[in-house]
Amino acid sequence: MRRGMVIDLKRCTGCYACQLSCKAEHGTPPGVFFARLLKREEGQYPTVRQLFLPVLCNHCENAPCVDACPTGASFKWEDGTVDIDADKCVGCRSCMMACPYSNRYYNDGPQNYYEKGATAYERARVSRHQTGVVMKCDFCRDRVRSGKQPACVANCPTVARYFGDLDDPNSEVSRLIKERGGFPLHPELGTKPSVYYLPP
Amino acid sequence: MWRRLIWIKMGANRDSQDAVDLLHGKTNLSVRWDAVVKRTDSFQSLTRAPDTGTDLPETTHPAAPVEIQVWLFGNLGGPRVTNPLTLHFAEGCSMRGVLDELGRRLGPEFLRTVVSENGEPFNTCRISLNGELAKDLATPICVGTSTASVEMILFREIEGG
Amino acid sequence: MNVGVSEVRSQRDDVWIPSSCALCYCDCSIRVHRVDGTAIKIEGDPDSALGKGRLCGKGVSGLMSHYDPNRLTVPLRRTNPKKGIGEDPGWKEISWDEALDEIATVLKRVRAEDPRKLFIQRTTTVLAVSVPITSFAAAFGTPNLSASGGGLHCGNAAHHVSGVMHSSWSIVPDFEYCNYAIYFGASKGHSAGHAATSNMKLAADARTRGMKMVVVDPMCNYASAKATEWVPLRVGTDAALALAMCNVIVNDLGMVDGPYLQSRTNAPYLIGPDKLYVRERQTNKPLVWDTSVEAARPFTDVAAENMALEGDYEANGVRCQPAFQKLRDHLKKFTPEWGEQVSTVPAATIRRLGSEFAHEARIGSTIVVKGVTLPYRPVAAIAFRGAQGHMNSLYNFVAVDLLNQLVGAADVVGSCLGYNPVCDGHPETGLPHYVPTAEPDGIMKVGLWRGFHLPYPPVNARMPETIGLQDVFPLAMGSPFVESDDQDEFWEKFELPYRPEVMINWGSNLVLSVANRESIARTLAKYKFMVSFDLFLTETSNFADIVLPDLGYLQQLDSRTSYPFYWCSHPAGMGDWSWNIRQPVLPPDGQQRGFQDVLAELVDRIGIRADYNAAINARLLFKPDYRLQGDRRYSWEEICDADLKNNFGPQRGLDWFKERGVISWPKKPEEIYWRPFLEVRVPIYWEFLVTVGEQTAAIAEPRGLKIPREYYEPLPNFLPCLSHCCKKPDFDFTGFYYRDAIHTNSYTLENAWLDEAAQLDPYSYTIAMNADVGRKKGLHDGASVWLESETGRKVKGRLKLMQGMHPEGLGIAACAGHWSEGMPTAKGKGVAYNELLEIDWHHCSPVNLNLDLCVRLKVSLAEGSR
Repeated sequence: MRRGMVIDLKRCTGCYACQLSCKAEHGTPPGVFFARLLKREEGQYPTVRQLFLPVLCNHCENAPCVDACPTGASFKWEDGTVDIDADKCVGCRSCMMACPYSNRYYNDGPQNYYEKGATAYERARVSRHQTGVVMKCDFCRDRVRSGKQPACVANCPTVARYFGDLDDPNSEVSRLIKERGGFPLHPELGTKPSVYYLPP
Repeated sequence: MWRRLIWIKMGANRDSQDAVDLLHGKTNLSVRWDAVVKRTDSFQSLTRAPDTGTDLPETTHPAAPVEIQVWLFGNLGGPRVTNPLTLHFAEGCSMRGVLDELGRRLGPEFLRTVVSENGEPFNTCRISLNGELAKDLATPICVGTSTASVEMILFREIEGG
Repeated sequence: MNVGVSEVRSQRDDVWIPSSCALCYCDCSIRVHRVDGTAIKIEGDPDSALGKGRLCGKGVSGLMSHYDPNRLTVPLRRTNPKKGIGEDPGWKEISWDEALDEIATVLKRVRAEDPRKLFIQRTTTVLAVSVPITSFAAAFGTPNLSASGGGLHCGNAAHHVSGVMHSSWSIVPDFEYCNYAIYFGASKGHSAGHAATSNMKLAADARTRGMKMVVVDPMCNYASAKATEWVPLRVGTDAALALAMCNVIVNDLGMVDGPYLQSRTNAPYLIGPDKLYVRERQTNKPLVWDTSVEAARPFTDVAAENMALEGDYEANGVRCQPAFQKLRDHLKKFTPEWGEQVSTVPAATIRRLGSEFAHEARIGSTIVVKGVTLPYRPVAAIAFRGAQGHMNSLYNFVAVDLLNQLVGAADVVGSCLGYNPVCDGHPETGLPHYVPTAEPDGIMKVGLWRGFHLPYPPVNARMPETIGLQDVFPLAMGSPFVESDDQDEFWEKFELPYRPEVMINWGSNLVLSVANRESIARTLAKYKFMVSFDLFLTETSNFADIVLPDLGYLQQLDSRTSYPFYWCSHPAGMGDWSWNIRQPVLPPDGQQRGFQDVLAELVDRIGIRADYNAAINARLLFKPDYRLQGDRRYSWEEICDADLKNNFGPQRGLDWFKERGVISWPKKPEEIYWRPFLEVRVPIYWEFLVTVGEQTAAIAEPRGLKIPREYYEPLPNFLPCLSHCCKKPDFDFTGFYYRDAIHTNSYTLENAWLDEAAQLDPYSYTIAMNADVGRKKGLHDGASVWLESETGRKVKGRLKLMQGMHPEGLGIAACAGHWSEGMPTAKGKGVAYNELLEIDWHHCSPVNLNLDLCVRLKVSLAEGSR
């Protein structure tokens, strides 16, 4: 079993719902995004289109962040999900330097969005995150263990995101990669991401 | 026999017979837009009367005397009107008759507010008869010995969105 | 402080509560996870057609709008009588009793003098407000209502023309079956707008299935960014492109759906030299030329296939032609070369698009949907706010929809659909039920509508009752005269018998959303008394005498949020009907109260309870079992319960709906593809416009207002905006604004998560300019620039140079640029485009009063910028 995600760039319309539903699920503090959206123009006037590229931790098979971690805080579960044990993290940020995709965040900024202090929501959610440590996407481990899809997958309004077992050749994610020519980001780095993209 | 569809080339002389036939649906290459759904297939339910109006009760004496109480609300009412107004019609009436009588009592300005130049109530004027939206102004109001109840109110809706 | 929350906290709670979103007017179904009294997550509801279990970025972020510490929690009274931009109102807290006492006293006085002196504004963000507010207005006796900027900018043409042609509020491709969609200034399925999130999956499915999506837009963003082909054009020239395409289809190719035109439009109606229908003398019915007997006969007496569409005839002693002949001749001047000159779209492209559209329409083909054989016309031309926000508002939209009408692609499979113009009702109750009918000329009349007037038939122009003067301009919906610089002059001119004195504002922010702040401030300062129901202290609240702290959507109850189905929320096409409700998930905070309860309280204090009950009965079409009686008091809960039972049966009241949030049932093909089943026609020749113009002129011209009749011709034209006529040197650009996917009106700029996403977005807070043009002018990405209008109005912002922009275009997103201290997250973000807009007769369409929203601009570097 290797958990992986497929993102269909043809379907994605750059609406930010993934970035925001992830934030809503995890209550990440300001400036921290386990899921983000990038936009890039392609072409020259008048033949132009835009590429909308949702990004998140790639949960690499050869995760450089795990190798770089001196304390063992960064680790991989059996299903391939890369995670961080916050209790073991000392905040050295070696993992962030090792990650070629910039998908890790160091939690040292303001924890609340408002100067007036934490809202009831922030008290309930944001306070769960330890400060002074690195944080990242964990493929919504709690949701997945209770039978749900990751928040970004479950909520995507264009149904551009899929989640499943990359080791199962008959899973939806495996079939999509095969049928539509799915590709990971920067394969030349040898990280072997578990997140694949379908061409726009 | 079905022929292959003839593509009409750009710049074709618009008097060409193909174009004219297509215009008038006389070619047998295609099905007329209005012949696809046959009248016998008509979706009866679609054209049924809206439930917001009901048939007015009928009695055996459509020309019998009838008393109607009218409540005018909002700016149809106001200080010059004491609800309800009671109207008596010796030989029966319709809703149109009710409106005419109200016009007589309250002045032409009242009627102008409620009824358009073509004689129909404005969409924004809601008239109910015995608790149901009045759908047909011409149908006689027949209620036997009891009193009919009419309510009227003017709406102005909000636009946009 | 927060009594409600402690009640909730009395025992551990961990529940998911179904409700509906209100971050925009789409009302997607939501499920809110509340744990120990705190809402910690909002997700979609897979049982609902609204959103289909998913939410846009705004919907999932609703938690931040609710829990914003800047939310109002107490009633406020202004102590500084002076009202103006930058004036400190001197707020003091007052009790609800004091507030309601004062408001009721004012309203009683006004009602006794003249109830029309009350003017009510509402925001377009939350549609369900319509029921209590319009009922209150009807009971009080005022005709003066407005939907602020969202109403005035958005859709005087879009809604009106969609109503005339498709019996709906707006139009959309039938995504499930459409093969070729051409969008004019619209983003359906790719951004905000009607049924936005519900459309996103549909549109993605369509594109991946192979639907070709051509997007005509000055900017390559949202729909144009994903388009198969982006067609940039000069801002505001959509009619030129559409008319040239129509000319190609009709005159070059001859590829039109004759049978559709014969049977479902007024194309065969004979038109006389006075531009009007030639009518049978006895019955007044419009005549057509019956080719089987070579005579003019009433349209009701002739089989469609025998109605001539072309030719010259004589009837009733006058020379006449079928309307289609008039159209064909009229279109000839709109050559592709002319179209290129006006719109900058190359002539070859115009020819190709016209040809593609006509060929892809597959005129004459049929398809079977759920066992029902239907016409198949898998093309759709749609337009929305961008195309119609101009002087040429009406014709821009008419011209785009004409493409559909020419090939029979109207409310059949794969074609341009109205948003749910027909509903046969729930299988058990048959409600709600509405269907269009034909009026005496055979032309379609909507089955259901919310408006001053029905879209068709138009009412006669009259001396005005309303401050917006919509009685004089019967095709108008929103009106600039409620806030314009020349309103006093026009009220005087048209002998308005009163002046507005009191305003109730429900959640709108007209200072930011309508036009330049000075003009709006001048209008607001004239009001003797203003009450504003708000969530935050906005730029507009600061003009109020009393501000009342409203409930947010997570605290509100409403029995109808996705209904009416033809309006802004419900997706079109096959699938399910879903009627959803909104229910409180969280209690009021501080002294917040629901405006429905506040209005009811005012109703009692003013003494109009019986009127209000009568209004609710009429508005909600209550059957006798559920009617509110006499002057009895009913709570909002009771009214909502009655509304639901009235439609869905006694076993499905509020409790039933609170448990489920939504009721869904399958749509039928006959409801969606209704046009072949109904004998209704639509106008491809707007004959009635001539009469409307004459009536309006008869009232206006003796009073010194010239009515330009070129706007009232029965066939569409390209008429230039002011921006097209500007010849001033250095004014090289035409500015426009557009909807941002992550913002709604001016409301969501305050939401911290949405603000954060917008700050990361390249376009949300910037001024987009064509990169090559910018560099030639010595400008660079990120440069701080001033935009200046012809009348000297200026705004400042940061440039974003991009390839995807017409060389003359300047694109600004959203309704941004807040300055109110009450919205600190929003303050200073983005650009307040509306600052550039003038608001008066000269800057609106003379036929439907839509504000002209494009502005000719000069760009200069701001000080301090490299």
